[in-house]
Amino acid sequence: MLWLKLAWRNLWRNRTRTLVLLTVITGSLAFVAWMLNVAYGSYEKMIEDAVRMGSGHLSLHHPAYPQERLSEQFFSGKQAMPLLANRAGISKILPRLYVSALARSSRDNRAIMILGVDFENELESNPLLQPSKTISGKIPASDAQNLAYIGTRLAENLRIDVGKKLVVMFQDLSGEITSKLYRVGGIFKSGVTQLDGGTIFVNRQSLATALGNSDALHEIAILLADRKELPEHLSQLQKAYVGHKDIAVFSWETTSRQIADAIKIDSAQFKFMIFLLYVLVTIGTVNLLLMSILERTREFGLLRAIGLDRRRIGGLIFCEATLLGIIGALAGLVLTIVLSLYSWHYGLDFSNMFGEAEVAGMLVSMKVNSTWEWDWMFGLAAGMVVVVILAAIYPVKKALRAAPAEAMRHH
Amino acid sequence: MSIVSTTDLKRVYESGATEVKAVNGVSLSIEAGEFAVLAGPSGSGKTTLLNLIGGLDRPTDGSVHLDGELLNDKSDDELTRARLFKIGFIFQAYNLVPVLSAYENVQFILQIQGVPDSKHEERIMPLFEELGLSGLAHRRPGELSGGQQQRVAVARAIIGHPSIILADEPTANLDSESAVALLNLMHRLNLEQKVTFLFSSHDKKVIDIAQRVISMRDGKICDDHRKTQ
Repeated sequence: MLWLKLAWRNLWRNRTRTLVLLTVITGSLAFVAWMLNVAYGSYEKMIEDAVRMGSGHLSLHHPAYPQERLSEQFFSGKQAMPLLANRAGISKILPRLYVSALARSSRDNRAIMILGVDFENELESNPLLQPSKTISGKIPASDAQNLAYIGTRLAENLRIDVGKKLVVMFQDLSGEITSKLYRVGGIFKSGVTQLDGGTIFVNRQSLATALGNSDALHEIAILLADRKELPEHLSQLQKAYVGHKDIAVFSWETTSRQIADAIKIDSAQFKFMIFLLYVLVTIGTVNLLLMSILERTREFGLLRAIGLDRRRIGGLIFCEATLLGIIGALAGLVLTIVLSLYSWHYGLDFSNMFGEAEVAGMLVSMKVNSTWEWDWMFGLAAGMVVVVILAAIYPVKKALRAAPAEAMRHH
Repeated sequence: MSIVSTTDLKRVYESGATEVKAVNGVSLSIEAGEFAVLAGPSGSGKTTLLNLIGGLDRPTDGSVHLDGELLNDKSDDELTRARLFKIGFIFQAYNLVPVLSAYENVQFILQIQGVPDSKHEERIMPLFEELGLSGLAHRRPGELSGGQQQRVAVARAIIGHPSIILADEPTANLDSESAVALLNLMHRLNLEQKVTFLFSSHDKKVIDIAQRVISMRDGKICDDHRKTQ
């Protein structure tokens, strides 16, 4: 107990210095851990937006489709859908068709991508099919066979508006060129150039019929109730479809590889930043501990003179460093929790600054709610304690170098 | 019985190309219960000799025996252990741990000697009573006068029942009255508890009270005489 008392009192000999060091430790930890919570919140948001707009948490495709994206790489909805019915943990099943086409109006023509969707089924989940994104007309109803929902830039390029006709020309599944007439039912503005300038949404059934196979699908996007259960669902579905050669199950990391890569790169950069910050904290701690220890050279000489061996003196300094690290880490955790509580509850809205961001051709909301990465938070706090303890090694060596008589002559 | 004995003890410091013979061939024996002083002017080698006897420094040549054990061959840790159990130190500048109270400074020795916590108070408080420190137990060194701090240093030196107390200029920082009181206190401990003291000092008060005066000059003993009772 006397050791702890001695270590504790030694810490507060120079109150200002100790407070500066504690502020550095607390501030660094809180900054890193809070930023990490915000970053993971933004990754969550990015993934959720991407999977809702893209191919879902999991998706069914022809095995070659995610790589080649050819129109003839389709599979049968009648074979695929029954195996998904009544499966627990799935919140949404979204069958889709993707067809590359040429859109023509009476004024102009453009290369586009047609998305065949079930409008009402997509409404709750797809961030593009929202009334807030509709700038003219409305999102077509599910039974509207010949209405198209088109991007604002495409409408401008084709010089058409709501109610006007456009013809789309594409290759059907037998390789023949075919065309279909649509009327513009609504115009959307996403802010993503590629989407606004080259995408139209139409009724899936009408598109499938035009393709020559009313049962054809290019994708079934599956949204899960809990993304953490993804590996389990992936494995189960892969087993369920093992006898279907035309159907393969993919995770979002495969179908939205660019998003996954963007997150990996950002996460790696963040970890490098953590490393740099910890190096800086180590240098600062070594410096301040060294100052504190060199001031006490004479006292360490005295302690050795009266019978305290090097091991115990080293232990005393490590005890001081451990106390410092623990106090700093606890304060840092508390500050992280306070900051994260705010950003988790209220969220951080960067949309005023950045609007909605385009990441890998996907629309990502800039309102971020931080998550609670407890493993990381405790890991970073424990890491901070270890860093402070390791930072004491050099000062300890320095303190114990001098012989007692020599140390006691030090002023 | 000899507590400390040195044979042809030498300590040479090298300062560039020059050699300084701080202790130059000292052979000396301190018997149990002695109250002796190493006297001499500054630079005569008193403190260096005291440091060599106390295992705070290593000799260049010659030998030091403490309680019959040769100190020369001991490792740092063995020397530290010898200092902990066999030697009590009193320094000119008191050298108490500033963040510990008077009581804790003394308790510190018992703690590192491994004496059970339950025994600390029963050993420290009677000693504090005897040294007139009872009311000052919870004060920190900064709140004590020089004389009081040196009495705490005496308590710290004798609490572990060492074989010998080595006191380096213990009165040098004290006023005359405090110095006399401290010397009388140590003399009483010597007479009543047979504690062995070896001082280094050029203070006449210390030399007057000592039973044996070992005079040094240029690192050598030039005179060694015991006073008759």
